[in-house]
Amino acid sequence: MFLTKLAIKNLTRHKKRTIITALVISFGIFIFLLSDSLMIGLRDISLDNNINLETAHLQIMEEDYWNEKEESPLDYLLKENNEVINKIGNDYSNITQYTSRLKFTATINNGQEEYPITVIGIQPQKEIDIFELEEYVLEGEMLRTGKYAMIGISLANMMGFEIGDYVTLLFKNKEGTFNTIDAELQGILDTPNPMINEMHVYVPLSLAQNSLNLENKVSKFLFRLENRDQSVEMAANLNKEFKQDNLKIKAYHWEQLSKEVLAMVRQGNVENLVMLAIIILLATVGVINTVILAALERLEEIGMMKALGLKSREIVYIFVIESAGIGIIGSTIGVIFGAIGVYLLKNIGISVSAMTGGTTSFGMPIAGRIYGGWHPEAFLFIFIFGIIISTLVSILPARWGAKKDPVKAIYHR
Amino acid sequence: MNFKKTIALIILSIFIFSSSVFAITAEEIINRRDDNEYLKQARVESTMIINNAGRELEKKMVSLIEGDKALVRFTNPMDRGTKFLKRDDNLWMFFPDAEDVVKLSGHMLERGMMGSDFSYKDMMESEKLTELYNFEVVGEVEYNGRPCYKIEAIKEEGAEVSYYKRIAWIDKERFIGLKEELYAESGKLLKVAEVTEVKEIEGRWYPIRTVMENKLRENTSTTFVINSIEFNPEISEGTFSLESLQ
Amino acid sequence: MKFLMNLAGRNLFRNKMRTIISIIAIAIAVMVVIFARGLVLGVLNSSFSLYVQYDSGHIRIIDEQYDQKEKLLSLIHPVDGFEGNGIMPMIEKLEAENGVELAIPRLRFGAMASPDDEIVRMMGWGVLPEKEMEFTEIESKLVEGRMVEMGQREVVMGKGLMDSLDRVVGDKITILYKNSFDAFKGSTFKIVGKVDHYLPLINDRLFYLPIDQAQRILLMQDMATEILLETKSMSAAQEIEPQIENLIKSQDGRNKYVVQNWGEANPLLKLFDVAKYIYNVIYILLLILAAIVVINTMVMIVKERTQEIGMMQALGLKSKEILTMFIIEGTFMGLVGSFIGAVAGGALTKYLAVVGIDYTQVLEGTIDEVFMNPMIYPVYNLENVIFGFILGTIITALTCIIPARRAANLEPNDALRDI
Repeated sequence: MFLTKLAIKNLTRHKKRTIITALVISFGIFIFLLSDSLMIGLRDISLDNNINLETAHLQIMEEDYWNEKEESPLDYLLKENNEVINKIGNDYSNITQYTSRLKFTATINNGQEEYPITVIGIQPQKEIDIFELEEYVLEGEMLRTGKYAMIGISLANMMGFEIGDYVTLLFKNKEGTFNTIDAELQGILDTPNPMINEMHVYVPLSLAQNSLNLENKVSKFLFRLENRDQSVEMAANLNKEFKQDNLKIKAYHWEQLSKEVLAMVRQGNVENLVMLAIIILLATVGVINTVILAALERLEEIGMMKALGLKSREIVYIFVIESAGIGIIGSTIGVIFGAIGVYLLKNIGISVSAMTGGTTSFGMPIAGRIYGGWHPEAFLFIFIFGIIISTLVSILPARWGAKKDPVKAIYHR
Repeated sequence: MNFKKTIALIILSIFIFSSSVFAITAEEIINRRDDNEYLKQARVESTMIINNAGRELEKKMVSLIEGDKALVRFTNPMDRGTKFLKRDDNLWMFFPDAEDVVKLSGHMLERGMMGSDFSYKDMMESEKLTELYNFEVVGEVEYNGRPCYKIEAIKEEGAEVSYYKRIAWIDKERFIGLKEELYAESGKLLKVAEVTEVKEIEGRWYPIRTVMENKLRENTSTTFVINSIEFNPEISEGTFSLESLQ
Repeated sequence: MKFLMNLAGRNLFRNKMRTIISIIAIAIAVMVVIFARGLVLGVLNSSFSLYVQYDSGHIRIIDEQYDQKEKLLSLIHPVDGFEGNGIMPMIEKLEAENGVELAIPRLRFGAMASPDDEIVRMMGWGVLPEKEMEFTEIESKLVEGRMVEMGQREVVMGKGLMDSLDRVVGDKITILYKNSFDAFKGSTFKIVGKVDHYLPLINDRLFYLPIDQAQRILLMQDMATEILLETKSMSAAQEIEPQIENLIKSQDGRNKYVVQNWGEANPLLKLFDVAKYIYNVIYILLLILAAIVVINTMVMIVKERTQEIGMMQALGLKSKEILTMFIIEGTFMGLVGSFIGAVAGGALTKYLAVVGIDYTQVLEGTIDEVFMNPMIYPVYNLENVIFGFILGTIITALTCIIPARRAANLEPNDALRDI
């Protein structure tokens, strides 16, 4: 106890040194937390964009449909008014909203050129609650019921369509008979997803169903949950239920639905590790540096302590406690400033246009800002880590210092 | 490429009527035309001119036909060596650069693969049109100076045909189709086939030049021209076999 | 002045331990900063290297109208060289340009096969086998057989594709396609190799064939759908882009081609810009961190020598002279430390730039199917090394000043008294 008190007293005695060294640690922690937050923000944006535009948290469809989903077949469809789905909607309280879609392939025609696209029949009102399509309407307005369509900006540019123009969609129904939809272009979308911008045409679900003679039929149901972490478990639970009831449908969670995006995002984790390693390295160097120099500076003091009867071990202990103390101070300051920084990042964000020179593109929200993510585990981790590192790192230099000959030490001057 | 349909729009004035007294039903009109579609036996040399938004391609072919079977050989420089064989509902293709024969099925038939506006599927439709559509005579009009029956056809419920509605102008005297409009279920006009030239050969009238226009795309059409046709030629055994494709 | 320098020098030598430790601290800081930059750039490059290899290259040259028709794999807007003289002379001229490491052509077209009444859709890439293997790591993914050879009617396919076609290496496959005149054709090829790649595109849809064969069957003599350029790094691409544009303008008056850097070719890669910006910010913060370490060292040293300073003042040295002396000491340590750090950092970066860091072990279990390359190659950049060196020196020199000034302004009595 005495030793500990001594260590603490030492810290207050050499305030400046204590503070500067602590600052090294705090700064390192600060940087780590900020970059971690930004990385998470970036990751969240990519994932969320995908979820908010394409996949939702969970989808339910027939297993046979899943196997052929690339072709958007008109087979293996589900009933729109579906008791099973309705029951699920009622039973599970963490489902905030759900809707259904009908997808089919068609060509879009402007009188001169035609281009293969995918038509998606949506329920505009419900979509607004689940997806963020409305936020990406660049021109015009969100889809309404009736003979209206929404297309992506790339498609609009390529075919020369403007709001108010009529787009012609040509497709075949299940019997192979041609049908067309002439819909008024109501909205043009500019989303972060190039595939949507180039290949998707959104029409009201009823229009799609009527034109295909598939009344009351949909390709799949899409669900929004309270948060995306629930989807894996939920899918598993639902699939168990379905199997028990011998139903041909299956639930798919968003990770299964967005493999590409996920793969990209997982890379981010590695980069994070790299950053972490670098920051730790520098902070460690700072701490070691300080301890050694401190030891050097205080050789006399060490000599004095030895002369007073303190054993090497006890001297080492004092130094280590001092370093731990510095670590605690540094970690605390670092975490506090980190929290402030992350808070600012989360709410104000950094302007993307400053970074990319103005053009918004894949993965970035239209407003052109990135927001930090809140990652409490990182805070806890780095706080403890900071203290541990400072403590551990000080041991060797402390032992080195403590071994010095007291007589020589006092005589050091 | 619906050569079957256009080739087979022969006039074979089997019936000898005096002009207007007899009331003839839509089915009968179509049946006669339908009957004429089934070439019992013929050798045809033809040209297909594909106009795709201004780009023009010309394909020449020689076809041997016997009932449900047909062997088509391309003779234009670009496609020389390519052959098709149709037997019942199957279609095989041979390409000079390939070492084996390719069988086309299902999906592939849906596309207008030669780049034309006639899809293979149209060509394969062997069932009688009367079984697939409900026909009705809606008038007697003149088209290009010829008196015609105007017949409207709406597809039967559940029929697996490409066009929901067809309107045909059929020459009253010669019983060949002179014009046909093809509609989507929405009522939108998708294609128009017009016969611009007819000829009488060996006592039969039939269309020499047919233009199929894609109404959804400007400047896009396919023209089918019969350069020569020989009825009941000598067709040797084994012509319609896979071996003859190689 | 000379006297001061002498004094400074002797001070440094007198307290070797202290000097050495300071130098080491500076060296490490500089080294870390230099290496970190290279590492980060390497990580960024490798993250996007897949896209660069199989999609956009660092720079892509295509016909102006091809961009829009790309999804359809149109063949009517090809690259046919300068003034239509064929792609090979064009490739030669491009490779001769400063900063272009490699130029490869690709002739991409849609195709299908129908082995058992099923339709399997595929994409064919006509390539120059040698160059393609240099540009991408496809050779390392060959699990059976070999790559195609020019002039031979052969293809190499992905494992997934071969499975869906029910074929093995050595079999023949008849491929159906539309040539550049929209004529439907078929050709038979021999499968001479199988690749197993983590990218679904390569594994399940793609087949390689020699570009001369592709040109033959598609009737596209001496043409390609695109030419990809490899530059030193993704950032280098943007610098070289104008140069390439000028070359093309000077060689071809038809205004036919557009030059796209990777970001324009594939909007996804804009993420790279953003990531780079973030890393730059982090880099600056790292620099500050390194600076603080150095400052810390300097402060402690000066503080320790307060008594010494008092002594010097008592001996008649003026404040300014004392200050100068400290600056000299600091600069010296800064120079030496930075130099060592720069050399060490540069060497480490350069070495790893060639050898690469393999962190498959780290990734084990965290990623199942990946778009990633588990090898990182840090980017070695001389400017970076020099920058680190200069920065280290300046910071060290500067950070002596403040504590030195404060110490130098003390009254000799107070200074001496400080024990």
